[in-house]
Amino acid sequence: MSSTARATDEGRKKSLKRKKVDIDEQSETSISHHEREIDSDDEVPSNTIGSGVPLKWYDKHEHIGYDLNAKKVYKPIQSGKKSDEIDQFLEKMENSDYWRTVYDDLTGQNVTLTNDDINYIQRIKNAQTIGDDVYEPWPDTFSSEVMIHPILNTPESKASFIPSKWERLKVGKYVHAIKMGWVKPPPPKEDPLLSNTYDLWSDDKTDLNLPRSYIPAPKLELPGHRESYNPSNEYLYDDNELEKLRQKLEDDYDEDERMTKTLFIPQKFDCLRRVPSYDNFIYERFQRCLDLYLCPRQKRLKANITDINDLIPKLPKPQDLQPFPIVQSLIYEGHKSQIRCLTCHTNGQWLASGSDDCTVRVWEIETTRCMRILTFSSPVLSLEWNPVLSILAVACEDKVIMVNPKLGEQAKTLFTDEFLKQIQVNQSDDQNKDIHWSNEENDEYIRLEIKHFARVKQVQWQGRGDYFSCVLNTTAQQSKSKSVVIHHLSKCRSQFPFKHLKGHVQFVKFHPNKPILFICTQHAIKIYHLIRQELLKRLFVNTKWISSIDIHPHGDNLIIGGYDSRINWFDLDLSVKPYETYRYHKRAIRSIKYHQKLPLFASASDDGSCVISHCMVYQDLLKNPLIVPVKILRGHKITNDIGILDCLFHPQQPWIFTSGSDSTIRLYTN
Amino acid sequence: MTKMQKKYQKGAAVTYTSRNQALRKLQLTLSDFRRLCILKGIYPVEPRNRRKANRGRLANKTYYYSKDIRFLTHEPIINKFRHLKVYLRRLTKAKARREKSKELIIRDNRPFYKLDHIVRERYPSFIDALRDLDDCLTLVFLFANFPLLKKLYEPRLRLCRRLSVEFLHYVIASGTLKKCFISIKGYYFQAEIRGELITWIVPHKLGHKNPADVDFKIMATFLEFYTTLLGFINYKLYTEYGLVYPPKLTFSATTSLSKLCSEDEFTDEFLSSLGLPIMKKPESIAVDEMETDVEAAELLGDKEANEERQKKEEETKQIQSLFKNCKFFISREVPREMFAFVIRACGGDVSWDKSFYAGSTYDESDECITHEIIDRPILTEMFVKRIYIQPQWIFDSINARKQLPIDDYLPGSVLPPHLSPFVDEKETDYIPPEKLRLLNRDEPIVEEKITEPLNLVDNSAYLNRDQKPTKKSDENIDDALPRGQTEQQQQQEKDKRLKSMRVGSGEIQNLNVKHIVKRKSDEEKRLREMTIPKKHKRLYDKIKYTQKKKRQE
Repeated sequence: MSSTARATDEGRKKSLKRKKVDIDEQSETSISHHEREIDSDDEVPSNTIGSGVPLKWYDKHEHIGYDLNAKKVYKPIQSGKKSDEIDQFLEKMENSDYWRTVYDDLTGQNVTLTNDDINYIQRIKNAQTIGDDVYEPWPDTFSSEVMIHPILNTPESKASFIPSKWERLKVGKYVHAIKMGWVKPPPPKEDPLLSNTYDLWSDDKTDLNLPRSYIPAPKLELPGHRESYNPSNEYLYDDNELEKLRQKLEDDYDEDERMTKTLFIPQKFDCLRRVPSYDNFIYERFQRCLDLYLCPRQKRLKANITDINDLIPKLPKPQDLQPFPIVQSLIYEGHKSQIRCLTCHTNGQWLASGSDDCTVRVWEIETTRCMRILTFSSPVLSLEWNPVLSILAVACEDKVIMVNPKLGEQAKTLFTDEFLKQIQVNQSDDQNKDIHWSNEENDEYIRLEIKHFARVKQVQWQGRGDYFSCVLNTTAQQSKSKSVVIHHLSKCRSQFPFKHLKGHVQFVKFHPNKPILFICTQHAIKIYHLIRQELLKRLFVNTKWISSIDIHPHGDNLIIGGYDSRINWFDLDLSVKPYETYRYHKRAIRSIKYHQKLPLFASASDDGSCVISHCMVYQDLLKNPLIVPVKILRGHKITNDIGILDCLFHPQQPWIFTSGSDSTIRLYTN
Repeated sequence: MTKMQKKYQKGAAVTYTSRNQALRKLQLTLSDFRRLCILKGIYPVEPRNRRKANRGRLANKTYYYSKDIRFLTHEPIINKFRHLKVYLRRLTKAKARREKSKELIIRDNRPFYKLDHIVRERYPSFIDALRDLDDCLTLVFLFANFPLLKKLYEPRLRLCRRLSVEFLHYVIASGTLKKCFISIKGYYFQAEIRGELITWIVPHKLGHKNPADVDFKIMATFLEFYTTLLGFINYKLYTEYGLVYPPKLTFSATTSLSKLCSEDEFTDEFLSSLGLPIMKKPESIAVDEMETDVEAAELLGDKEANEERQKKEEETKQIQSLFKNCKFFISREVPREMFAFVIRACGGDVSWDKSFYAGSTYDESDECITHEIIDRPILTEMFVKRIYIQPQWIFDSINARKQLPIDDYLPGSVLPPHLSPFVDEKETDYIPPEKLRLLNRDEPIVEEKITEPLNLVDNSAYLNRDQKPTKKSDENIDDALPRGQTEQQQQQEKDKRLKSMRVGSGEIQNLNVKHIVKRKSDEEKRLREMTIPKKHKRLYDKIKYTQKKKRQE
C-alpha cells in the first residue's frame, strides 16, 4: 500500500471515530459516502454536489452533478443499479461478490467493498475500536514542548493582577485572632497506640480503692505430656478410645451452653519440621477471651492441699505412748459357743467368762488353765466379779446367781462363804413379789439365787461390792420403770429406784466413786444422783443405738460405743454433747472399755478388730484430753457376722482380753 | 414504731444487677457494654441464690455486682464511646454526600481513648500486672503471628510484633526463662519475673486456618487492653533492669541490605531477629532484687527460706549459663525465632544463614561453631568439629538444666519422647518411664539404709501359727514365746515330738524383714488416717480415690 493510501486510511479512521454513533444506524449510506471520498481522491471526475442536495433533483437530468472543474458528471449507462429483479437475481447467482456490492447513489455505480471495509463495519457494529494499532501515540495538541506561538492569545484580565480584597480581610481577621490568642494551632497528634513512654507504677500506691474484692480468673492449664509434639506412646489414643472420647464430648455438649471444649488428640511427629499448625489455636484463644468476660465467677472455698498428709492431724507417734497391748500372747480355748462376757478378778489372777454354751469358765490368766467350769441352764449374758469378796455374779435367764469359785486366798473364800450364810433371806419382808431371793446350800459353788420377773441383761457391782444393779429385759406388758433393780447384798433387799423410765434401758453403770448411776437407753444417757434422787444430766448421744458405755476411772469422762460404729467421748464437765466422735471401726461396736490404771481405752467391734487408743486426761481443766489410736488388734475370726463381743483390760497390766464369737478368748500383751 | 421493711430492698436483690438492668443504667448498647466490661475487667458473678437475686424468679440471667456497675458509671471512657458513635454518624453522612473535604476533617478529628488509667486501676501494683500476664502474652503473640492484613487494623498488629519482640528481648537479657516445651499447639515458655511464674504460648509460625466462628471484634478489644498493658510492663521491666527503652542494638546495623528498606525498618528487622544483644543504660547497674532479699532474710534469720532461695538462685544461674561458650547455627528448616530466643536466653550465641533472615552474625562455614541445629535426616556437607543435633535437644536440655548427652538427638535418629516440664508428678501419679530414667540419672540409687531401730514384733506374725518367730527378731518375742502356745498347739507339738523324737538342725526362718517393716508402716498410716476429723475425711478419701484411679490408668 502506498503512503498516500495509509494517510487516507488514517483520515478515514478519525472521521469514523467522530461519527461512531450515527454510523451504527445508517452504516450503509455513510460507507458509500466514504467510498465516494476514496473515489474522489483516486478518480476524476467525482461529484461535488455535497450531501445537502437531494439526488432526486437530478432525476430528470442526464447528469448527476459536477466535478471539481464545474463540468457535468454524467449518469453512467446501466452500470449501477439494476432495476429489473430478474437481472438482480441473475447477478446474485453469478456474482460471488454480490453480498459485498453496494450501490453508490452519488456516482450511480456499484462498489464492491474490500475485506478491510468489511472488517471496519464489523468492528463498528461490535462497538470496538477501529484500526489495528490500538496503542498508537496520541497526537498531543497542548504538548509540553514550548512553541513559539501561543495557542491562545487572549490577554490576562486585570483582576488577576490585583490582590483580592476579601481574602485580605479574611486573613486579617485570622491574624488578629491568632494575635489575640483566640485561635490556637491544633495540638500535635498523639499516636493512640503508643502511650507507654512513662512508668505507670512509679508512685507505688497500691491501695487504690476498688469497689470490690477481685476474683482472679483461673490461670491457663499447663500442658501435660500428652500435648507434646513427640509424646511417649502410651499417651496416644487408639481408634476405640478416640471414638469414646468423641462420643463423650458430644454427650456432654449442652445445647443451651456455649461449646467451649475442643477435643485434643495427641499426635506423635518424628521430627519438628513435620509439626503442622494447630488449627484450633485461634478458636481456643477466642474461647478463653469469652471465658474471661462472660463466665460468671464465684468465690469457692477450695481446700488448697499440696500434700495429702497435711490432712492427717499431727499426733504423737504410738511408739512414744507405750505401754499398750501389741501382740497376741495367749488364747483361752474351751468354750463351745460365743463368749458374751468377761470379767477379771481384782488381783489380776483370774478371768471369768460367760458363754452361750451355758457355762461360765474361770481361767488362770498366766497359764490359760481352765480352773472351773460352771454349767447353767441357759446362756450367760453377763457376769461380774465382786470387787471385794470372792463372789461372781452371773446373770442367767431371769436369775442372778452368786457363785463362789473358791479361788485365790483361802481366807477370803471362807470369809465369803461365811458372809453369805449370814445373810437373812427374808422372803416375807420383801415388799415386792417380783424378786425372789433364795439360798442354795447344796451346791459346791452356787451360794445365792435372785430370781426376777424378767430376763436379766446385765449385772453390775457398785465399787464397794455391797450393792449391785441389774438391768431387766422387760416385755411389753411389764412396766418399764421396773427394768432397773438395785440389790443390797448384805441386807438381801431389792428396790426399783425409778418410778418412771422412758425407753429401753440397755445398761446401768455406777460412778466409780460417787453415788451416781448412769442409765443408758437406746439413744440417751441419764445420770441420776442416788441419794438426792434427782436427775443430774442428760447426755445427747451421737449414735443411733448405744451398745456399750464405760466411765473413766476419774469419773469425769465417758465413752460410748454404738451399733452404728461410732464412738463418742463425753467430757461431763464440759458439755452434754459429745466432745469428739470417732469412727475407728467399719462395723458395729460391741464393747468399749477403759483401763483402770493406764490412760488407755479399747473398742471392740464386729469387724474383728479391737482398737487400742491412748487417752490421756489431764487434771488441768483447760487442757483437752489427748486421744490417739495406737494399735489395731486382730485375731478373732468373724463367725455369724460377729467379731469380738467383749473386751476387758487387765486391772494392773497393759493387757487386754477379747472374747469373740469364735469361742476363744485372746490375751494381747505389750 | 419502726418503718416497715419492704421486700427486695436489701440483700441479694440489691447486690446483684442483671445485665439488662446494667445496660439501662449505663445507657449503653450491648456491644459497647461488652467492650467496657472487657476493658475494665468486669465479669459476671454467680449469686449464691439465684432466686433471691432475681426477686423470687428463677430466670436464667447474667448477673453483675451492682457495685461494679455503679463503678462503671464513672468511667470516662463511656463518654468516648458516645463520641465515637457521633463520629461514625458524621462520617457516614459526609461520605454519603460525597463531601470529601468535610470527610477528611472528620477523619482527622477521630476521637480516641487511652487505657492508661484503666491499666493502673486494674493493676494497682506492678506485681498484680505481672500476675495476670499469661493471657495477655499469649494473645499478643498470637496476633504478632498474623500476617499484616487490612482486616485486622495493621498498626495494632505491628504494635503486637514490636511488643512481643521487646518482651522476648527482656527475657533474654534478664535470663529469666525457666521452662520451655514444644507442643502441638505451639511453644510453651515459662519465665519467672519477680517471683511470678509467667507462662505463654507462641503458636507455630505457620499459616492459620481462618476459623469460622470466631468474633475478631472481641479479640481486638482484648488486644487493645493487652497491648497497653504489655507496653507499660515492658517499659517498667526495661527501665528497672537498666536497659534502654525502646530497645536498641548495641551497634548500628547497616549492611548493603538496608538499601531495600528504610533504616528504621531495617533496625526493627535486626531487633526482631533476637540474635543480637540490646543496649544497656550506661550509668545504671541492674538492681538485683535477690541480693536485697537475701539480706533481709538474713536479718530475719529465716533459714529455710534462705536455703530455698539459694537453691533457686543456683538453678537460675545454671540455666543462664547452660549454653555459655556454645555457638549455635540454626539451619533453615528449624523455626529460627523460637530457637534463637531459647538459646540466647541460656547464654549461647546464635546465627543462621545470611539469606534466611537479617541479623546473622557468622556463617555456616565459621570454624568456631560448636553446635548446628538440624532437622533434616541427611546432610550433604558436614563439618568435623561441630555437633549436629536435632532441635529437641535444646528444649530437653533446658528442662533438664544441663546439656544432655547427644546420642539420642543425632540427626535422623529416633528421638526420645519430649516430656512436659510442667507436670509435677507426685509419688502416686503415673510417671512415664523416660522421666523416671531422667530422674534416676540425676540421683544414683542409694542403698536403702534402715536407720531407726525397728520393732519387728508384729501382731500378725503370730496370726498364722506355722510361722514361728525367730530369735533374732527381738527379745520381746522371746518373752512371748513360752506363753504363746495354746493348749491345742501344745498338744499338736507333743504329738509331733512323739512321732519323731529327734533334734534336727535349727532352720532359719525366712522372715521377710522388709515385708514386716512395710506392714508396720502401713498399719501406722491406717491408725493415723483414723484420726482425720470428719471435716477432712471426705476430702482425704476423695484424693486417695483419684490417686488410685490415676495409678490404674
